[in-house]
Amino acid sequence: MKNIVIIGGGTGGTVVANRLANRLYDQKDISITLFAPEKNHIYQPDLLFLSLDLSDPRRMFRDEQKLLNKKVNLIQQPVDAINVDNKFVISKGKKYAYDYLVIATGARLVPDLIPGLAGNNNHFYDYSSAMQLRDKLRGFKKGVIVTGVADVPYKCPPAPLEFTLLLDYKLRKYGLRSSVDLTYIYPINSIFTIQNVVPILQKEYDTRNIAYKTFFIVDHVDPEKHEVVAMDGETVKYDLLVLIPPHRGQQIISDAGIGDEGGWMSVDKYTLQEKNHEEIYGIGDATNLPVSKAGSVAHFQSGVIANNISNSVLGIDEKINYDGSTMCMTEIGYDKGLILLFDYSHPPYGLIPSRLNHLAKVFYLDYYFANMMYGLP
Amino acid sequence: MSDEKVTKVIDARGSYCPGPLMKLIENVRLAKVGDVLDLLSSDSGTKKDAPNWIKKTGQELIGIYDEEGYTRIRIKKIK
Ligand SMILES: Cc1cc2nc3c(=O)[nH]c(=O)nc-3n(C[C@H](O)[C@H](O)[C@H](O)COP(=O)(O)OP(=O)(O)OC[C@H]3O[C@@H](n4cnc5c(N)ncnc54)[C@H](O)[C@@H]3O)c2cc1C
Repeated sequence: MKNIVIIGGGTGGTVVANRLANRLYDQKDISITLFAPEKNHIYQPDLLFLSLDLSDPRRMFRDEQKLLNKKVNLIQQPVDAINVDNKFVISKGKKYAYDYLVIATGARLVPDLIPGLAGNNNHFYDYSSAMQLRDKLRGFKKGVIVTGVADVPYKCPPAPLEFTLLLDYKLRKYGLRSSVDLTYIYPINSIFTIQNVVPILQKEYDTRNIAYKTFFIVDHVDPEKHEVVAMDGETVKYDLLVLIPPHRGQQIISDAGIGDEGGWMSVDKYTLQEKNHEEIYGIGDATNLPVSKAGSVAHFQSGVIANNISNSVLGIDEKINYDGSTMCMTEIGYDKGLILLFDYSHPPYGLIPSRLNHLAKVFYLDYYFANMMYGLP
Repeated sequence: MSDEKVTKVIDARGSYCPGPLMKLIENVRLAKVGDVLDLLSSDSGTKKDAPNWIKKTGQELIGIYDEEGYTRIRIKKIK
């Protein structure tokens, strides 16, 4: 009997489980076990729309069990520890041995890393925070909204920028933009990381009068003065603060001795295998690869991991590499969007905003769940 | 090349998003004072952007070295 254990039932874990099940459906002596503590699977990209009242909270959840192939044994509880030397995981006091382990535990939000942030900030990176922000924005008619990023890395790099552009669009639609000022802060020397798209986005910011401060590395928030303070002492005043909170990897990764200082797994950028344990794979947001923390990345990586594990199980000596493939859908408001595609050796292309790209992003939710269920490419 | 002991190598070759500078910021924030980091980047813009960021944040740039097909930027966290 060979045991494949997957930790985390988000995008990466669920797709990899189904893809493995598809490839190994007729193998009686292979078990695929997925640890996923939440009953419902959330489609995180919709949180952006939800926070801006542009989507319905019921749209984004599906029962995890129903998304899974029958060959996958779902255990709805968290893994508490990983023993990499003796190849087992522990959940609720019970040991589960593995021959192959896939770590798909994503990122956790750690607002406390920035003094003054927790309790004074708003964000849309989890369901309850997105709902709270939606309610606050409904009553916000006048003042300064500061948007941007509190720390790096963070998932979905364009999300703070999309939020800002969609917020501007929405405020204009409701005739509120003249009484609401928008200021966006970002840690590098431009408003976005992908340099060949910056001119397009910069033009949007300039024509829509969105102020921005770049090279703004947040040190702390001063709630009494209503100020965000940067490392070099620069400040920006807010009435409503919407910063993406700091992210870190899960504690079980650090505890197992396979994480870096941020709790992210070090994996080979091509094979996705943990640096010192070839039977352990990392997928999606949990790794420290220099790729976007994005669902598209987890999706592309799942094909590599499912192929390589199933081939190894079946004794087929053929491996494929992850090539850095990333797809990044970026909304800019006015029903327009960009779809950028790139990998380790090709810079992003797809630089013309269009309505078709916007529709692709809106309808992607249905494709996401269908694709996940059937383990499609 | 300087002979300081490198604490960590950050391989950001082929990174378009988040990009080498973001990886540098992430790692400098996590590093301890005194750590020496090597950033590997295949993006020509990093040669200009990383030193600007290092200067702005008061860290120490040890050196910029051209290697085959990429640049190595060595930085020391001093505060
Ligand atoms: C607002 C927002 C917008 C986004 N927009 C986009 C977009 O447009 N395009 C895009 O590609 N990406 C987008 N993303 C990013 C995308 O959602 C994530 O990158 C993706 O979900 C990563 O997949 P993952 O499997 O690595 O992690 P996740 O999907 O986050 O799943 C991790 C899972 O691991 C589980 N887990 C953690 N610890 C344990 C444990 N100890 N035991 C068992 N389970 C555990 C968690 O419960 C969670 O279910 C967005 C994210 C947000 C928040």
